[in-house]
Amino acid sequence: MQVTCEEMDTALVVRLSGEIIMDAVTECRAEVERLALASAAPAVVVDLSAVAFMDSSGVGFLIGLRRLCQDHDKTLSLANPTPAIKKLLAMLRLTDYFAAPQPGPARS
Amino acid sequence: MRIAVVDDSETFRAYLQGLLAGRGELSAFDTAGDCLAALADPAQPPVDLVLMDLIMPVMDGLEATRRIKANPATADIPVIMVTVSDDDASLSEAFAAGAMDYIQKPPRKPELLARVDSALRLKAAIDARKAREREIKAEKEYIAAILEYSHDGIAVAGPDSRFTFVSPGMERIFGLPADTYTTADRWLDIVFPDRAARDDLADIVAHRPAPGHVWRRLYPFADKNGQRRACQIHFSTMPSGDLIINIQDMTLFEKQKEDLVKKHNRHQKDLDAAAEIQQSLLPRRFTMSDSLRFAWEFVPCDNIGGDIFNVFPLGPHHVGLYMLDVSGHGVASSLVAHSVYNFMHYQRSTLVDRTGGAIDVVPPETVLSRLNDEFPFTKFQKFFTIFYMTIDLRDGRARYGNAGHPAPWHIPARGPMAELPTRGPIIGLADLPPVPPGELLLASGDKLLAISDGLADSRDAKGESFGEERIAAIAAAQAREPVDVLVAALRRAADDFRQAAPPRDDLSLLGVEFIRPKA
Repeated sequence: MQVTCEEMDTALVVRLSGEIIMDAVTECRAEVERLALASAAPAVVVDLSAVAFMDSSGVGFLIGLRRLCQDHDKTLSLANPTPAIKKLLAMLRLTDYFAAPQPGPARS
Repeated sequence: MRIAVVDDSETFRAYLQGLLAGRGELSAFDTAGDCLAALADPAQPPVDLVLMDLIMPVMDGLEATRRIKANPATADIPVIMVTVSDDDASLSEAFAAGAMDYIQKPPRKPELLARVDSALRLKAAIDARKAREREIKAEKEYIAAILEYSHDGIAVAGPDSRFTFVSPGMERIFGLPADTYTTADRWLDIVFPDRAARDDLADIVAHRPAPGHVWRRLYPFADKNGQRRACQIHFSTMPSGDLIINIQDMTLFEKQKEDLVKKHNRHQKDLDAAAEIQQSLLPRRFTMSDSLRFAWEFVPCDNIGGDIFNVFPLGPHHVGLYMLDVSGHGVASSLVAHSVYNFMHYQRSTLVDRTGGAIDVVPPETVLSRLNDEFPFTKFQKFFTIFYMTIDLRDGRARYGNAGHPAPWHIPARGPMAELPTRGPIIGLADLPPVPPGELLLASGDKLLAISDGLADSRDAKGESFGEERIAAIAAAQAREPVDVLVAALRRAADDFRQAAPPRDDLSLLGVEFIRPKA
């Protein structure tokens, strides 16, 4: 798994590529979490367009990352999942869980 | 370049200086003593040629020349005698004192300049040679220092196996003075008690790699105290045919490697034990009753996964079955799976409510909701998928809940097979909607097939996935066969597909067949 990162005004875009499987997660988890928390943007978007395969460890990693963001008042969403990953998320019924947050009423 | 003019006559000094104008820097001295003092003084600019008057008061030119030549610091400076006398005796004396040339007073300009130029050229050549010698000496010292301080041992063996060079590193590695072994054979005898290593080394010393090739091998050896150690040796041959033997002490590295292998073996034993426990929890292979039979296959991944499934009686009239897959693999996932297994034990109140003397089977969606409370993601940083079903053996009424697990297949005795459609989210996240209840009526001869995602995700050597279509095709082809034949066919197809490679994830197959309603 490779990690690249782009800081936009409103979101930090983390691009993952390769296979998100147990060994890769063990290696990259800390780095991605650090990137997510170091960013000033209120949203973290994980771009999955270049991810060839993801197993349950990968899903667990993304759930953990979403919880971490939540604890720090950030949102996490997934972008551009490949058809295989879309199917996996649909099977686990996690499509909505990882969808981009709908713009809610403006907070003061 | 600088020329020193030594003459007690001021007029002659001035005359010479006039003739030599443009031939470099000039230093003039009226006594030989002053000239010698200046030559010996490092603060004074160095002199490249001395024009020396022969007859001077106090110290004459011969004595001064002798002294210049006797001092190693000035011996290279050419001296040209300048004198009125031209008799043979004076000439002999001047050359004996060390003068390189001789000019008669008063000098003629072309002759003087030709001789001076020639002397200066000679001095320049001497200087260049001396500088090169100094460079070579410094290089040699540098290389010697590298060999002295390099941790590697380096030895060079001539064609007769006699060592022509042994670096101090050899002594550091083998613990014996370098002169202990004068030949490669002697060295082999002393430090390589291992017969195979000694033979191999002797063979290399005898045959040597072709120039440009390097042979590298690891050898056990004994140090001076007889302690077993290990070294890596590079062999290469110089164009001259001499064998260069470059030795590195690998004892620590080898020890670390050995420790790592030991640790790995221990870890592997733990994994094997955990896998055995995991498999011991799987249901026994038997036909449960006249109403229901089941079959299963389980292929563990090589580093233990988080799959567990079970089939069990639930009260007097029901059967429960589930298949679960904890995220990730390894010991942590399998421990969570065991924990869920205990929670799902058929005698526990998770699955049956015993209130007021009645035994009520808890609806699957309620069981899954209890699991969701008991196993939040935050507890182990893991989630799991589970399919849980209860079957009333009296009428074939089945109720199920599917928390993110691949949809099981319903293979009816008549008609096309279909996936069980109802499904909810995984177990572990409280903020997701609950798993909806699913229902199904099993007719006699109907079968159910639950499979973990390890099967569809199995890959062959080319990296192609087994895929759900393949599962569906095999199941459809075997739909009319007894459930054990169906399950075995899928297992066989999976094994053929992977060609004996262990799966990346646990692979679980569970099939049940409703034979007839319980009387």
